[in-house]
Amino acid sequence: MINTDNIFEIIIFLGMFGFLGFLVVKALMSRMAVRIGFRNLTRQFRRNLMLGVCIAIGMVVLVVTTSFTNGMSDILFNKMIVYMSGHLRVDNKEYTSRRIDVIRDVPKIKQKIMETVEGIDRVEEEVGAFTRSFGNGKSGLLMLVGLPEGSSFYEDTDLEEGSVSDIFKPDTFPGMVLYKGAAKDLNVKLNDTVKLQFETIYGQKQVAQLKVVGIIPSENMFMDMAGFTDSKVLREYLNMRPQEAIGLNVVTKFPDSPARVIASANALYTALVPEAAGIKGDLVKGSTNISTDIFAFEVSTNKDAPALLSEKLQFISGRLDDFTSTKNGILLTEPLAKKLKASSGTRLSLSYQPKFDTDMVSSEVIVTGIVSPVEGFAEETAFANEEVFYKVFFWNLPKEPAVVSHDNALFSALLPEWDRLPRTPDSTSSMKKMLNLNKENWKGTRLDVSSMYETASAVIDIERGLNIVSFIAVLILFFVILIGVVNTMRMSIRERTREIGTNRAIGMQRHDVRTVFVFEVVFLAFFACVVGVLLGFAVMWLLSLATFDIPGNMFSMFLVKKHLYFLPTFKAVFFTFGVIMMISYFIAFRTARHAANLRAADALRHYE
Amino acid sequence: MNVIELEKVEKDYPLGATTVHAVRGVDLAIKEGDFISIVGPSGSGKTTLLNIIGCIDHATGGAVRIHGEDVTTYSDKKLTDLRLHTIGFIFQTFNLIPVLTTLENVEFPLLLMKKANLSKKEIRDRAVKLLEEVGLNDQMNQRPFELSGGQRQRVAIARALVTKPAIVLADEPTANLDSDTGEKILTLMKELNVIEKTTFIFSTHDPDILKYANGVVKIKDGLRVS
Repeated sequence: MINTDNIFEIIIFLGMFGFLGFLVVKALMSRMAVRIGFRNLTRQFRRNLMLGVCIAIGMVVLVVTTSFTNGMSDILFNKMIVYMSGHLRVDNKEYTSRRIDVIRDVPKIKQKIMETVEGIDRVEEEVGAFTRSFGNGKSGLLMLVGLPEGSSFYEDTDLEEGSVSDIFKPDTFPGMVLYKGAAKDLNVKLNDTVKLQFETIYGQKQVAQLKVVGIIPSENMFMDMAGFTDSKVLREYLNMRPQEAIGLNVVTKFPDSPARVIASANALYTALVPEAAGIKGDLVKGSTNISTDIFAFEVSTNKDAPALLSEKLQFISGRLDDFTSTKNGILLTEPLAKKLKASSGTRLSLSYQPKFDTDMVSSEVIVTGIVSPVEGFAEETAFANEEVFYKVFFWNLPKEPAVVSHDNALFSALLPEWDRLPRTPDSTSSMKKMLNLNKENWKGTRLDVSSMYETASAVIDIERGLNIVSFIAVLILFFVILIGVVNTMRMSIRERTREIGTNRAIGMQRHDVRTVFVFEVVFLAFFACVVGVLLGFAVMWLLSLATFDIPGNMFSMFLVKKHLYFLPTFKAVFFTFGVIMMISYFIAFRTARHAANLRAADALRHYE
Repeated sequence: MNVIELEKVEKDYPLGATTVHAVRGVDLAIKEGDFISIVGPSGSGKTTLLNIIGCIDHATGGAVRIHGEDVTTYSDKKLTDLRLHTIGFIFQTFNLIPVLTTLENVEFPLLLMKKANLSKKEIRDRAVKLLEEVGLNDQMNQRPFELSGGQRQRVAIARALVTKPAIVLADEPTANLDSDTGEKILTLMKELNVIEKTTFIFSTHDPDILKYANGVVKIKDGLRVS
């Protein structure tokens, strides 16, 4: 798919290259005018030098600010948000017997992500816990993150002490690596142990003891709160199975493009349209075992469902009220009831093969009614009260799910495999959505798709604020350059009016007169920009030498290892260079028109 | 054959609420190879008349014909081309380009003649030959500020002649020179007039240099008096 951000960027850069190419061609075609323009720089040397210094300082400020904001974005998108929530995130709220935040079928959701999201760098399974940690006489909060062996994080991280591989070596206590700041807060060193208290995903208290096998130098304040261990180990502590994760964080290759990230989140949301929760399982009565499709009706959580069922189901025996009021109730179609020799009140065993386990899952159900076969379903189908599925389905997803068309008249009454929470544009509405969810009386699962522009919008707002400040500074600088160029040119034109008259009298066309003045400014801007870029890099190098020890200060999140972090890119420098050249050219062109339009006789008559 | 014909040429300038009649119905015919002097007191309209002949100023009335063609309806671009190819200018204050060397100043008009497709060598050779003719063999790489007034005017003459124009207009070419240098310059112009058959028209209010001219046009208060 063609991306509009890229097209815009390509157009801008082609425009810039085209403009610089145009300047070169123009210079080659008007060599004498260009030569005069170039040599004119040496006249009014002091004035041109001052303007050049002004443009160079502007360039320095632009290079430094764009590199700083690029650095900030890099820290935000690639060092902070990536580890906080990814650029896109899918998580799941489950409420069957208690509230659990877990995705039960990671492979299925992962596959949807891979099919839908463009430019994926990696998909990370979130396995982590906020812990109360106890070191040597000191305690603190620690975010313990589980990462699998071979995670790119370990490859990308240089340890100050210890070894990452020790995390995965069997030892008395499982290994963990800590950021230096966290180690300092807990007063622990390499080979010390840390006790951690936290809750499993089911809310049980858990205590673990981990050995510090590595210390990572802290890059910013967020990292000072984190420690890492083997995800397998942490899963066990959290009572999570291998196919489960607290969330799925998608890291993309285009984090600084809100349009692309949000579009991907929207596309993923659309792709995650749920099927009905269905099981291809067995109903067993004594020695009679019948394989059948089993679905569940939302009789208690969907207020529209009872009316729909009353309209569409034809009860041969039993009543809808019996079905809705019996938590382990089940309706059988007449052919299925005949095969099972079951009638209202018959107890059956529902069993099926789960997707992620070898042991069969089974649960007892009571027949609360016999219905005629329902259009769109197999003749032999069973419909359970949703409460039956809350006990078995979500905990042990079936290996073979039963499927029904979304167009089926009863589809809206069927329990879905999940519900999707609505997409939200920002963190405020996202938080409001979650608060409302906590207030609501709901059961089942709620899948949430979010982008970093919702989950981390507060941090992004800070970055945007700083970007706006630097943008305003840039505008002011452009304005100063603009005034400088216009002023210098007007003075030059005034001083050289008779010269313009002479050139026009000799036979110089208007456009050549304009070229002389324009190239004077273009050369000045070019040399000033080159000097500005070099000075900009020198300034960044000097600034990055300074150490800022401001723990607790909000701005420390923009520091890397207590130093300012600059990320100059060719794109940004070239763009700034191009913009200054363009501004200079167009202002010079406009001002030089005045000189070009002077009548030769009038210009020759001019006296200072 | 007349190179230049002026027929009832007028030039008015607005000056505040009033109008200054700088040239009032001047008729003039100049033949190829003439060495004509336009004389008259300051403010008589000599420079305005030269500017009109040189196509750097428009007449507000009458007709100006160069080589028989009425140039009063020409566009700015066409007039500029005409000046480049047909007319050379020598100014009282020399008006050389200060950032170019002597040689480059002389080459300059040839470089503007893009349609002539002159090679670099041709341009260089023509400029060098002319500078040698005006006696500036040793000053070719000097900048104008390094030259004396006479030398500068010689450069200006070389620049005016380098395009082989049919007409050279000189507005008081000796006014900023001492009398010896002035005489040398006029002698040089006269020689070139004879050798190159170029039509020279120069304005002056110095009666001593009229002896060089083979025709004198007297102007007073914008009117031709003889």
